[in-house]
Amino acid sequence: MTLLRTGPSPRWALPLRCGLALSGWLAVAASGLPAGSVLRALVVTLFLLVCPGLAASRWARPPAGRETGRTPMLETAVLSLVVSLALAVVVVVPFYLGGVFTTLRALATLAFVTSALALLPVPRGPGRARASRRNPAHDPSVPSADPSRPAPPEGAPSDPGPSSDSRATGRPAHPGDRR
Amino acid sequence: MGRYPTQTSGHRTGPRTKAGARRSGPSDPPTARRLGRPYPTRQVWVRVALPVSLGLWLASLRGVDLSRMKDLGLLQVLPVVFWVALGLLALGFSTALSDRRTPNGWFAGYVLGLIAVIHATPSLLYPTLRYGWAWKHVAIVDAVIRNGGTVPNAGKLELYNQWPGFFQLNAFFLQATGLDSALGYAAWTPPVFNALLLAPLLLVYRAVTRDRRLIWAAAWIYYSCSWVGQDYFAPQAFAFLLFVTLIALVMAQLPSSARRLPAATPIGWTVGRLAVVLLIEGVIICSHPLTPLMMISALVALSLPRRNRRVVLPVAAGAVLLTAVWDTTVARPYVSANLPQFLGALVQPDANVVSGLAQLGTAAPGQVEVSWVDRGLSAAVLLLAAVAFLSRRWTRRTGLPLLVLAPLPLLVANAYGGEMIFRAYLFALPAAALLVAALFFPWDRRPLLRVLAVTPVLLALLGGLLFGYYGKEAANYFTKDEVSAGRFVTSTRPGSLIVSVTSAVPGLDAYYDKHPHVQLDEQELGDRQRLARNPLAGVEPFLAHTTAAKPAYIVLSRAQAAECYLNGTLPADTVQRLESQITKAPGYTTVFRNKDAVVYRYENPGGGGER
Repeated sequence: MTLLRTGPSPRWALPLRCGLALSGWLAVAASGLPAGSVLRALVVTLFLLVCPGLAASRWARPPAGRETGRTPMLETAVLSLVVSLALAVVVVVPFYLGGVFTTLRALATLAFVTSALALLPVPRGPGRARASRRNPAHDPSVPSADPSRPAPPEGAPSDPGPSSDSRATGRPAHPGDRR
Repeated sequence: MGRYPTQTSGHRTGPRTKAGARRSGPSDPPTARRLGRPYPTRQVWVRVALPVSLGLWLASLRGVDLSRMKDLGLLQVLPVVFWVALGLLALGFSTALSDRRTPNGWFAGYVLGLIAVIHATPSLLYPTLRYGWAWKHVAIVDAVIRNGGTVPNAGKLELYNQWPGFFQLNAFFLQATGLDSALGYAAWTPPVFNALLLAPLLLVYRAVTRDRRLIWAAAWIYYSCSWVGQDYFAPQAFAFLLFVTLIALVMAQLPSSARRLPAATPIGWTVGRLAVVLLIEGVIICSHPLTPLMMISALVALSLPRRNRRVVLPVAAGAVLLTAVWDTTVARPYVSANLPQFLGALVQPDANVVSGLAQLGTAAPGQVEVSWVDRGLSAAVLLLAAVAFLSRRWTRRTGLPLLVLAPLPLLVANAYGGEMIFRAYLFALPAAALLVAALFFPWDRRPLLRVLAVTPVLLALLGGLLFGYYGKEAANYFTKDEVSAGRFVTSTRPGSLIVSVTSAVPGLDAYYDKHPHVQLDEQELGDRQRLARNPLAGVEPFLAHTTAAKPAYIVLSRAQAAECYLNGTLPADTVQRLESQITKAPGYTTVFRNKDAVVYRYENPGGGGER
């Protein structure tokens, strides 16, 4: 069985994390451009809609042994957008309610949060640690983020998957297993 | 072991037929493509129907005469080609469903095509932002920017100061990007929101089944039945997107999740994943008053089976705690002021349930039909979901039936201004759609026949949606002349009173913190009865305290007349009668007039106090 990665290719993990860490500060710089500037609108929009959530999605990956196919990519895409918006709300609401909102202050706070989420190492929870011991090749929190560790090769043996369960019981584990 | 067939990839090998031969092989599209062989007929049809239907749809939108909209809104002005395009799209999707080799990209294309046809049509046809409430929300964002946060003198819109997440997010976005106003992107909110919602919907369904055709069928059914129209530029749309994402994350974590592999890591949350879930909960709670209650109800429902509790209880506890904190701090003024009403509603469950079904007595004839069609569609969806629960036993092991039932306690507890029954349907729909899909598509040995048999039902559901979604467009659509009238009124001296018959005036709430506003159709019953008997006599009590320095501006417009005619809250000819009376009455001056709107200025010679 081919185990599909839950994160970016190791080759791109570090550049991606560094890019995410810088993206907020780039947006802060772009916000200094005059209102109506297309470049300002594009850079800030891209940052606000994608970057904080993409950085946070590193922390939200499910425990190992759960993710196959394109679903993890879809989940990462959803979290990138939704968590970006959520983090923006969480940052700006206290500023507004406290009457101390400025665009620069809110954007810089969000840039700082994004940098921290992108650069800090993700702690290993008990589930991840256990899964990692069982299958060292598959640790979603580390290999994808650590360029020094190679990705599991395509076609490498890994988790048995639900189809093995189906064979053992003679019945599909889930209704869609037959399809 | 062999390759694990990834259900979402669309490249798995086919099952064995009775004779033991593989059904796929050289005719498998990717293989056929590699070997230079032609696509099978069904796949050719799938690849032709989508672009042709979208082309026909775009062509059909040229020359639509919006001024002919009456009882049935867009339904009566869209040309035949539009309906042909929609039918072709549905047939193409059905054909795609009948063939297990259809790649995911084509399913996605069809569902996004459906979203475009349903939700981008008004955006493409209308010259201005659709729907009065969307204009109101744009005005609130502008007011947040003007006031640097909490808006003073907000009057009835004070509610939005206490659930400000969506508005302050947009205010921040506009200020950071340097854009002028949310008007530019608000018009495209319905298609964009629905397209964005597709991804978390797929994640919810993927947590229930690996059958990708079932997943795409459920997505199609969701968009074919989502007639409630809470997808405009509004906090509830934003909160609903977050809600579905939250449910997707929770469902993926359940022991019954189809995303869990056997012998996977223990059930439960990693700290980071739980933090993200709690973050989403917090943002839902500070953005919209109703969605947190729906969220708590759904989480409590999911926690009923003992096996789910380890996953769901921490999330449910977080939701309850965060809601309690918000409602006793920022939202305390609204909650404490309305608590007696909430408690009173708890002992009137019958009135709460039927409140959204009332007031059809004087509605336009076409609107009565529209109302019955959308109620029939809702009932049909829930009935089909119930049949699925009884006949497809595997669905009972999933969280879907619980999610369908979760909004019921709120339906009984509060009327939510007569809208609760529709909101309850909206929140039940994502789960109900997969149940309906499971009922329709068990994929026996003759999938093509099954799909052909189910296609008329899918078309009927889609037809029902269009009645509910397009049926009220005569009042939701605004001309540029009406926008000009709204701008004129709100640019008058601060403190002047604005009077309208209904809410169907674009931009009337711009500067709502500076202009008091009287909307006649939402006054007490006695005031409305007086208005119905004699419109001018019904207006005059509200003008008693106007002065030369703070006059009243009475705005009458096409969409207000259409709304009176459609919903029957006031007699259909109220706007026309009021205009006729005002032109003959002393003291009223016409200060603005164009084809679709007129504005009168009035000052009471004897006025002088504050009302």
